[in-house]
Amino acid sequence: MDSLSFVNTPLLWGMALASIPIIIHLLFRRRFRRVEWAPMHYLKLSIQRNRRRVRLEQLLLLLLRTLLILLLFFFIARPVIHAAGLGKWLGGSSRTSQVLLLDDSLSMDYREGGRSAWDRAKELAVKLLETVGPKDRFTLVLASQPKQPLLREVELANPDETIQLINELKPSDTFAAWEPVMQSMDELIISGSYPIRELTLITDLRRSGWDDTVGLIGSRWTTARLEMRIFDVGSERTANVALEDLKQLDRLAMVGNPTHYEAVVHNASERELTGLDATWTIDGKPSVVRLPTIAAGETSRVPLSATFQEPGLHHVEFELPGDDLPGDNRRWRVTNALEQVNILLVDGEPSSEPLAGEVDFLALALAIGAGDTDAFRVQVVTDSEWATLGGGQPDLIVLANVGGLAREQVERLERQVAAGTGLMIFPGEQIDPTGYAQLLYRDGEGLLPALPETNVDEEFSGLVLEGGAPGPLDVLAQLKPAVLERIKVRRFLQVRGEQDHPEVRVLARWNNADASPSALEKSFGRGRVLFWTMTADKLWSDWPTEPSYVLAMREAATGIARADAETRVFTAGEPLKIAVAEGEQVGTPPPTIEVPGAEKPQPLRVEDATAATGSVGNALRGVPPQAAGGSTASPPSVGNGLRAVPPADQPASNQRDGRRDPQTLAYNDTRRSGLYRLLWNIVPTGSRNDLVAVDPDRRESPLARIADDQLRGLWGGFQPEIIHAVSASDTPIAVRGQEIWRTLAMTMLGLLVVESCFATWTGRQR
Amino acid sequence: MANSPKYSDPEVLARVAGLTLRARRVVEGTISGLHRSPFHGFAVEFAEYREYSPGDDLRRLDWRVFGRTDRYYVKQYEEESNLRCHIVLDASASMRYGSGPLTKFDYAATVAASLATLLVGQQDPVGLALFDSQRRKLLPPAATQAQLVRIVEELESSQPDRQTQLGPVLQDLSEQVRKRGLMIIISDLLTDLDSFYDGLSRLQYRGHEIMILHILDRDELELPFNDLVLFHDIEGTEEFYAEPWAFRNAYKAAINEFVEGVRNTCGSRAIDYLLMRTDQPLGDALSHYLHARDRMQPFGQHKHGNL
Repeated sequence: MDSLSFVNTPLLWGMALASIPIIIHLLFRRRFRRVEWAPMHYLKLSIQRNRRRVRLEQLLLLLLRTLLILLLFFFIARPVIHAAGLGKWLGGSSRTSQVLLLDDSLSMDYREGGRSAWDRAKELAVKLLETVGPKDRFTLVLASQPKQPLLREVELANPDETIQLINELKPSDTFAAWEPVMQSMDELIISGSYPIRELTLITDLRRSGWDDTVGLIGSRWTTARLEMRIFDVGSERTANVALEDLKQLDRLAMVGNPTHYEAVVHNASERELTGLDATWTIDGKPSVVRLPTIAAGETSRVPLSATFQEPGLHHVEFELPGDDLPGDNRRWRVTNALEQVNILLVDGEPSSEPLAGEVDFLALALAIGAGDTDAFRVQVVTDSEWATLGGGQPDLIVLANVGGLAREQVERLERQVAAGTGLMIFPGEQIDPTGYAQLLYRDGEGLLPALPETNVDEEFSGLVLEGGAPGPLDVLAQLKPAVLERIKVRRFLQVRGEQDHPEVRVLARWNNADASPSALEKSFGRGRVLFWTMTADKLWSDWPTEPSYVLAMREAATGIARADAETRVFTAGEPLKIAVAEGEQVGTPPPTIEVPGAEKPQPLRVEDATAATGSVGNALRGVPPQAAGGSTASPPSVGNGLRAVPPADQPASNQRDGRRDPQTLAYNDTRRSGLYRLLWNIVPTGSRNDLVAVDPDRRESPLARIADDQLRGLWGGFQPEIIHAVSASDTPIAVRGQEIWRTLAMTMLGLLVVESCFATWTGRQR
Repeated sequence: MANSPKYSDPEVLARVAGLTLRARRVVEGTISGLHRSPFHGFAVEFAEYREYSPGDDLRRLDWRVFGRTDRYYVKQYEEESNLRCHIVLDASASMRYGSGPLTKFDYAATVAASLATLLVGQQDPVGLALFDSQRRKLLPPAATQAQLVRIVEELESSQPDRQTQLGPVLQDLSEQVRKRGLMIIISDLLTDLDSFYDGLSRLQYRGHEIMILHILDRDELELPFNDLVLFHDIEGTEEFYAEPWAFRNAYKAAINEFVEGVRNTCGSRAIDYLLMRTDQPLGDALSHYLHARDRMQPFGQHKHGNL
């Protein structure tokens, strides 16, 4: 029977014992007392008057007792309401708005016995279609696209098309965050045609993604005429080996130099992984990497490297050997190999004398070097030149003793840093601490990591590095302590408030009594700010004359300069937002994107800055577009095509500084992991392309399951029905479904009471 | 009785001995306080004169008074005991039932023997009529000890059998017994009541006083069975299963309606009626009844029995 199945089917044979009351009744009639009776007339009279009633009572009693035995064995056979039949049982002829929500998250591809939870989900979904009445309204939604139903409020006059649609669906590599999904379901349900609504979710009941925020929605649903069923098609197994991350360790990838990566592998299985080979692919060329031995439950980091001989975008891929969940075994990275780092030095106090200018020592430190002489492309401008400089996106901007900043300059600088440009600031005699505090500190909201107070005249020696997380000055720790101890300081800028902001940290302190900060770092948007409390020249200290200064400045420049490796990494399901280079206009033909698994390029959406800022927020990424042919676009002047992206809390306008804000290319359907290549043309001529990596969502890799009671507890007062479906590899899906023992137990108890009362009532004298 | 070959069986002898003993004990307890009947007839003791009226028997004219007064007077005498009693005993199969040590017939026979002993002791002639579907035996009334022995012998030798047809039997009896007297009917009355009432009417028309002793077993009144019972008609072949508890009250109502119907009918016809349960002590029941009857006022012309 489709509507019902039993856990202990053989016990149903016990229902034959329902004949016992009948047999007892017949046997009882054979055990009688014979009486020679005289007043037969009156006896017959009484019996005739009561015969029908007595027979009816006897029949009812017999029926009750038979039913009790039937129910007893029905009960111990543990009947289960079948998923497919439940709708027919309960739905009746009422018109219903039925919403079928399919969990197509990454974990649904977990395989057991050759079949995945997704296979079972589709099979069950097709079965559930049979329960949709011809006049019901049917909505089909994927958890990865809750706001874009595949079918919305349709009548399934011809279910074959829907079945075909379901069969062609593929699982995504996204994370199922159920709270926003249920929010979307709430909107769908509210807009349903009929007052009777059913929401059916087919999922693998993994713990990840469920939290008590669904309780708010559940509390609304308690008052709605809504029935929710959750079908569990997931495996009980949780063993999985996942590639949790693929990191590019070097912020900047330079042509000809090895770029280092690290693969993070977690073994969530019960056995040790040993002797396994992974595949490391660089620009499509695979090689084998022997994985280290990874004990059960342990995480291992696999070092990797790639050397790119050509500037421009390159892609690497790391893939673990296959397991039951293939979706989290691969990750990609897109690396922009640079020939040079563009550094803009803004000299606040230029001088025609050698090494007398504010940035002369700094420019010298960045320009000299062995082996990588061309790594830094340094441009020195005065503060007045910088104020009028337009366009271009340097990788690093250094402000040395630059006073008298205009508000517009600061705003532009903030946009640049937020978009990823590095910023190094040196104080000097021309700096007004109060003005810097107002423009650049802005009560901690600005670029400066700390509040500048006064210049302090104090002579001492030494620079002490702070420990902690890796930073741009880490290389100094490799020097002998004496090298930093002989730095003589005469004056420094006193700052405070550095400890008030979590995104600020002190990298080094002066070796004075107060241990005053000498270098502070702050994350600002996607960029970093390094704030020194000494001058870049030797006016306040003699460090610029020390060899360690060269090393420190070069490492600091490398450490905070724009690194776009992270900007090209998206997570499956995260909308792509790629800003077009400032000053460029997207032309025809319309931009397209090559999507993994898609046969044809898909259209890209072009948004203006206002729309992009308003809708995307922090997801908006600025990455340098590549000219056709794969070469890095390097503007002749400052910048290489990087665009500024305003911080999320800053009002956006379409026009800034007389220039039009950059357009944004948008694409939402990133449900599948892999490499996405964007192609577009610019006005009047020229083609551009970009490459981004979309990784599978790592939150799907832990496969711990959520218990029924725990899941029910998340919904507040709302009680969804949870039905477990168990599959076999070669037989049609079997549904363990919802056991109805409570109902049966109550029915049996009721029948027992009724039988007792009825038997007492019929046994009384009448 | 002792000569009867039937009583050579010790059990039968004990039963008969008990019966006689029971009857005597009951009678002895009953005859105290007995008074004479005011019934006027043709006995020896003069009562009064009454002026002749047409239709009177000319043989009762007192010619000597006529000679003295030239008027016609009739002599009236007080009859001491002119009671002729017939005990009509039901010996049908239905009387065979008994839930206790005595069947209804045993009980009825004991009552009959006791009353016969009582009557003979009063020098009143008593007869016995045994019937089932028809009159089986009729002993004409006599007031001798020999009659008493005959009655007891008849009772002992009778076995309840066949169906009850009381109505025709009473009609037949009314034809046979021309001289009016007392008819004591002892039966369970499980017969056709219409016919039975017709028989009573005929007897009353003949001038008989009637006394009905209705004998029923406790089971028949209360239907106390708690098992499934196969009821077999004691006077026929019909039988069926029944669960007595399912209709006990209905049965009791029906049997009570039957008893009350007979009682009311008898009351409306000035017939003495006494319901006797076989589990009641017979001596007590009979004594109470006779004492009560003693204290009752006679029923006009019909009230002449001196029991």
